[in-house]
Formats: sequence, C-alpha cells, structure tokens
Amino acid sequence: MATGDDVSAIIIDAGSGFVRAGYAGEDCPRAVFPSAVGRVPNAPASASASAPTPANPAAASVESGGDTSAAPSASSFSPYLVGESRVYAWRENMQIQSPFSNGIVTDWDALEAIWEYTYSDRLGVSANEHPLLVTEAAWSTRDVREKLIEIAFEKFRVPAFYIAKAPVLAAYTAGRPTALVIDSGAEMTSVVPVVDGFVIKKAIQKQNVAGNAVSNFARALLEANNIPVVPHYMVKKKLPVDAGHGSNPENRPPVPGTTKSFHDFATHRVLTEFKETVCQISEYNFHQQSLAMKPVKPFEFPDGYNCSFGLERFRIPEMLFNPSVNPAFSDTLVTGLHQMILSSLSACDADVRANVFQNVVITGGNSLIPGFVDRLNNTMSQNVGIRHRLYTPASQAERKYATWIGGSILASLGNFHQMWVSAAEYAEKGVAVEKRLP
Amino acid sequence: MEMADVCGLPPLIPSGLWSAKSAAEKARKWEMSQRVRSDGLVLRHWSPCGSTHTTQEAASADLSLTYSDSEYDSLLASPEWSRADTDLLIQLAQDFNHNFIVVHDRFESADGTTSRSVEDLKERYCHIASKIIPLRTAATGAPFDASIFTFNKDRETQRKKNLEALHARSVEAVQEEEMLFYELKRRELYGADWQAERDHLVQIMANHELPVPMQLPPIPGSSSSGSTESRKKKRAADAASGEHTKRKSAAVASALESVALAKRDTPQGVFIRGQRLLTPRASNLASKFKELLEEYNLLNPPLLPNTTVCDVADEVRSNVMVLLDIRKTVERLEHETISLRERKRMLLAGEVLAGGPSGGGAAPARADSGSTSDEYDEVEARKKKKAGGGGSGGGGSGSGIFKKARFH
Ligand SMILES: Nc1ncnc2c1ncn2[C@@H]1O[C@H](COP(=O)(O)OP(=O)(O)OP(=O)(O)O)[C@@H](O)[C@H]1O
Ligand SMILES: [Mg+2]
Repeated sequence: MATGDDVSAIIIDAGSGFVRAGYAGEDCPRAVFPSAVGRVPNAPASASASAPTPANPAAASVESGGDTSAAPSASSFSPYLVGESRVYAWRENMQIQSPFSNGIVTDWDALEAIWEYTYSDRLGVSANEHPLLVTEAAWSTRDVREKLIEIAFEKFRVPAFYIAKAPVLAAYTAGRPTALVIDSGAEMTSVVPVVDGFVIKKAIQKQNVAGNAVSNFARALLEANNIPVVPHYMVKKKLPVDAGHGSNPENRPPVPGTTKSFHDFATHRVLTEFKETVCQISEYNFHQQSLAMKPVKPFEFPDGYNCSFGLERFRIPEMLFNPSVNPAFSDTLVTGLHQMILSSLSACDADVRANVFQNVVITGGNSLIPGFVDRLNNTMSQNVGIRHRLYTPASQAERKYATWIGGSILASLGNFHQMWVSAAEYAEKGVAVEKRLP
Repeated sequence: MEMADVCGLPPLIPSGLWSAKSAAEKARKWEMSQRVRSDGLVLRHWSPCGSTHTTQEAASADLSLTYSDSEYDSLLASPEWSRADTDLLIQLAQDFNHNFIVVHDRFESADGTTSRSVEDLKERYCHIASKIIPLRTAATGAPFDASIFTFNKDRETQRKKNLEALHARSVEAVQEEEMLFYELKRRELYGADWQAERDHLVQIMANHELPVPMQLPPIPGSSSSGSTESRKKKRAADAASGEHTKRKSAAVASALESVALAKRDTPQGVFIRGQRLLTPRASNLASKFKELLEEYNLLNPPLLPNTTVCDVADEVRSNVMVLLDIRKTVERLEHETISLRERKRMLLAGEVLAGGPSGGGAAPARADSGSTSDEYDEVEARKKKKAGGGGSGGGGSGSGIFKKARFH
C-alpha cells in the first residue's frame, strides 16, 4: 500500500528499548531499531582526538565514566547517532544514552533525531506528506504531549498528527474496547485498564522493572558466579574455549577510548541475547527442587566462553513475579506482577472490573520470555477472586508489536478521519489542541 | 448508560469498531476513500464501500447541556457542588460520551480535596439534565421523558457495595463456591443414573433374598418418573419374596424379566428344549458367562433335556448371570469408592494447604486451582459422551481426579 502516490499514515511507536515504525494498514512495522542514541564529543581544535590528555576536559570526563551530567554543553557534540549500525559499532568516546526515563521522553533532541532517522534512513519518505501517529505511555503528561505536538508540526511539518496511548492500541489489536493491558517492555512494566477505548488513569500501575532489570539481574548473577560477560567490541577473535572456561584475557584487551555508557550498552546487548536464549519462567511459584530437575540450556558468549545454565535460568526472570529473589530490590517498593494487577483492579470501578478482567491483554517484548503468560495466568487464578480470561494473540509478533499494530489499525480506519489533529487546527489553536487527544 | 445513546454524542475514539456482531457478518467490501474535512485536511482511509461519510462534527451539535449564569443560580446551585466542578462535569460528560466511569477517572475537583464517587457524578448530571432539558424542549415542543434522568443514588451505591463485596471474596471462598457448584452440577447430571443403579441393586438383592443391609434413602434431587416406577416394582418384589420360598423359580423368572439379563425366545410350534436354554442378553457378559459355565462343565446342553432338567439348568444359568452382574457391580462400586476416597483426601489436603501461607511448598498443590473451568468442561464432555450411549457411567467419575493426582 505504501506506494508513491499514497498518503497512508506513518506510525511510530518509540519505547524505551526499541523504536518501531512503519505504515498504517500494514501488519508489522517496517523498521525496528534500538532507541538508544550515541553522541561523540567534538574534539576541540587544539587537542588531538586520538590522544586524550587531562588538558582535554571533554575526553577526560568521558574517560572517568561521567555521562550527561558531567558532559559539556550540547554544542560540542556531534549530531545524534541513531540505528543499530551506529550505536552497536564501537566509536572512540561515543556515549550511549536513552531518550526515555520511566517510559517518558526526556531528551527531546534525541527524539527528534530518532524521528529524523526513521523518515530519512528507514522509511525514505518526507514527513510533510504523511500524517503521523505516535504512541505514548499511559502516564504521559500534558507537557510531554504538548511538546510532541509542537515538534511534529513545527519541526516536521506533518499534515496531521495524533498521539495514542499504548495500552489503548494494544487493546485495539486484540479487538477489545475494554481490557486490562499488561505491558512488560524494556524499562517499564505496567498494568493499565482500558474502558471503551479510554485509559483509566487512576488505576494505572507501573514499575520500572522489566526487560532491562532482568538483564541487569542476569549480569549480577553471572558476575557472582565469576562468569565474565565480554561484549562483542572487546573480542579480537572468537576462539574455541573449553566449556566452563573463560577466553584468554589477551584475546579481550581493554579498548582505550571507550566510555562506560558504551561498555554498559554493549554488555547489555550480550546479556539481552543471553536472557532471550536461556531464561524461562517457572509456571508456578519458584520451587527450587522441582526446577533443578529441568533441562539445562547452553549459551556461548561472544568471547567463546560457554556454559550450561540450570536453575539460574529460572531464577533470573522469577524476579518479575517474586522480587524478593533479587537482592537489588530488597529495600525498594518493587512488588510482584500479581500485586500490580490486584492494585489496578481494585482501583477500577466495580461496574467495569469484571469486564476488564475478562479481557486480559499481554504485550511487550519482555512477555515473550517462555512461561511468562502461563505464570501470569496461574498467578491471577491463585490471587484474584474474580474470573479472568486471557486474550491469545495470533502470533508472537502480534504480542511483541501489539502497540504498533493497534496504531496501524486505528490510523487506517475511515472513522479515524475526524480524529487527526490537522496542521490547520494546530495553526489555529496551538498546543492547546492537546486537549482534544484523549 | 443509556444516556449516551439518547444524547447521540460522538466519542473521542470511534467505538463502533469492535462490535462482536460485525465479526459474524459477511465480509463487506472496503475501499480507499478520500475525504476532505471542514478544516481542509484531505486524507485517504479505508472505509466500507458505499458508506456515507456523515461527519461526526455535524452530529455533535445535536444536544449539549449548557446553562446561563442566571439559570445556574436559580435552578442548579447546590451546597455540595461548586460552579467550577459542575462545569467540569458537564464538559467531561460531553467529551467522554457520557461514559461516567471515564468521566469519573478524569474528574479532578477544583479544590483538589473533595472526592466524588461515580454515583455523585451521575446524580449531579441527572439533576442538571432534568432541570435544563425541559426548558430547552419546552421551546420546541419536543416531548421530554423525565424517567431517563431519574437516578436512584442510594440504590446504586448499595448495588456497588454489594458488587465490591462479591469481588472482595478470597480466592479460596470463590473456589469453594465453584466446587460446590460443580458438585451440584454433577449431581444434577448423574443423580437419575445413580438412583436407577441403586434401584437396580436393591431389586437384584430383593429377588434373591440377599439380606438388604438397610433401607437405602433415595438420592435427593433425582425424582425422575423412572425411579419412582422402579421403586414401586421393588416394593412389589419385596412383598412377593416374603410369602414363598419353594416357588423360587418363579421369583427367578420375575427377576429375569425385570433385570432383563437373559433372553429366551420361545418359538412357535415344536422345538428342542435343550437348544433353548437361557443365554445372556448383554454381550459383554457372554464371554464371562461361557467361561464360568465351562469351568463347571455346564456349557453343553443337558444330556437328558426334559422339562425338569431344563428348568434346573435354566435356573443355574440365570443365577450365574445374576452372580456375574452383581460381581461387576461390586467391582465398579469398589473402584468408585477408591476414587471418591482419593478425591476426599485431595480436597482435604488442598484445604489444609490453602490455609497455610502461600510459600513455595504450597504452590504445586494449589496448581490445579485454575482448572475449575476444565472440570466444568469435563462434566460437559461426559454429558455428551453419555448421551452418545457409553454404558460405563459411574466408573469414570473419578478419572478427572486421577488425572490431577498424577500431575503432582
Ligand atoms: N524473546 C524474548 N525473550 C525475552 N525477552 C525479550 C524477547 N524479546 C524481547 N525481549 C525483551 O523485551 C524488551 C523490549 O520490549 P519492548 O520492545 O516491548 O519494550 P519497549 O516498548 O521498547 O519499552 P517500554 O515499553 O518499557 O518503554 C527488551 O528488554 C528485550 O530484551
Ligand atoms: Mg512499549
């Protein structure tokens, strides 16, 4: 459908882990890329970039691991680097940062760079010819929405714009006007009731414990077991290693000019691959004896280190349901997923509660961990005295991209015509049109 | 809320997109259509062929609740509601298509402290509507139906309280209730069968003067006409067995008739008595019957097949059949007892565990708590199977339990 003379809308679902972008009416996004962006400080004319000295404040602050807070003003940085080919590749002094915090945009320049990259590098269309629909977290604020509207119309000159709440779109994808949307993504896990296409704000439950936290816990457990996680960029050459043995340290020398944020990002990438390959969630409450009998799974790290994992592969993601397994949460208010569901339900009006719980929609990349859905199902049966029913998506991709797909459906429907905020409307009312978006 | 339909305001999000009906309907043709909005925005969207593009903007002008300052002061002023809150309520009700759950969610009272329930909002809205709409309709002469806007707040509040109580039940309470419900269903489903089986047993025992251990009480809830009829028969048989002992064969004959175990067709005219001995009617008994007779070397017709000998042979045979039948029943009942005992044990165990903290150990035992619906399906499935005519009724009643037991 996305032919030249067509004006189908562009859908951008930018999450804290990944950005998904494509054309309305299609069944999956055309582009999926990490939402982290890279920045390289511009070397002052006097200093040589390849040999940072204490006289070079920019390089020094980077070397010491300081990131944005210690970083010099934006003008002394290169443009943002977006897309896997740029952020995954090692670059001297490149810092990696996320434009999101708690699922909400905080770095607007980075977001602009992401949109720019989406239009020019990935979709190859110009922004001013296509209506744009973007997604936002259910707990997004008015300021954020106004800023989004401003950027869309002022910087990108889109003909029409819309902001849709992620859970509403996931409910659309499931064909449910009323649903309990459980979304576990990279940074955030949220439980959001949707009633007749509207988010019930007072019943939103969210926690910044999701895919990233699982990866971090994996890192902690691996380190506690003296298993080195060597990211790709450090490995000179992948050499065969005996099972259970680390690679020769000479094969992974420290790379000068690497920022801490890049190293963490690269390590995180390995951990993500590790957890996606190995981790599984126990169908019932974590029970050491019975889980210890389950088959082990091998994993080979980029440097050749390989090992099989048994109990650990259950212990790591167990923290989503039972935070007490992760010592990092011991002094926090982090609760298990079923507690979030209970709280959200009890904040719902009694008249819609049963209906909401009859339509449980699970989405987000983190929910793809094997066993996640079964465990959630069991947990709900065991803890909530109201009957529930899970919506079963047609495919894994539908579960993963439910938010984007919902946007694709919504924007291509005839009824939606009136919903767009047009450039003319913006010209007339300015950012106050924000009120018109539910 | 019917008010939404009455007022016909557009939702912010099109709501007609998901109707369950549309899924069942025949697929319609859709087309890419280009539309121009009043503000000049031209976009192409998918829409059903031939649908008229009525703009919702036009519809929205229909009915809106507005009031002047003087109207507010004279008709709507209230000690509980400020003007600002009232205005906000009316605005939200319109924005959110009179979906008061959502209106309540977005409602923030101006002073930031007063908390208002959904019922408070509905009551206020209905009050305003019932005051303002007659004023507007009076001008046009349109009829006004006041009943739409009568709202019984106390009743609604109480109803919601009850609903809350229902939702607040613990999982254990819900499960127990569900278990009782399915037990009841099971009884309803099999009660008649169980009663018939008992009657059958009682009859066999009565006809053979086996001691009846006690008067079996009728199973409650299974008062099918068939069972009363058989009970009547039983009483008749009781009476008969009291008066005689020597006319045993008569009793046997009547038992054979009622039990319908054996068949003997008496052909017209001359026949060889020795070829017409009783044979089991039920084919599943036939092989066992043969085996048993063979064991005692009785399978072949008697050497001297006169009336007396044949009668005795018949009597032996019919007794063998009754024996087999009783033996089969005993086996089945034993099996059933075992499974019921197992079920009882599990239920008791389940309850003990449910009472404890939901620690790691309790988890596996509580594992099947989510399968109540499966159990229901099982009952349904068995119902169907029964209807299909599988004779082995009661024996399978514990199979679900066994399946679960194996799971642990
Ligand atoms: N197959 C998988 N198994 C386990 N985890 C997975 C799998 N696929 C993706 N993930 C994890 O899901 C997370 C990304 O999910 P998703 O793309 O839904 O998040 P997001 O929308 O970008 O973030 P958020 O919604 O928190 O803002 C990552 O942490 C990733 O590791
Ligand atoms: Mg997301």
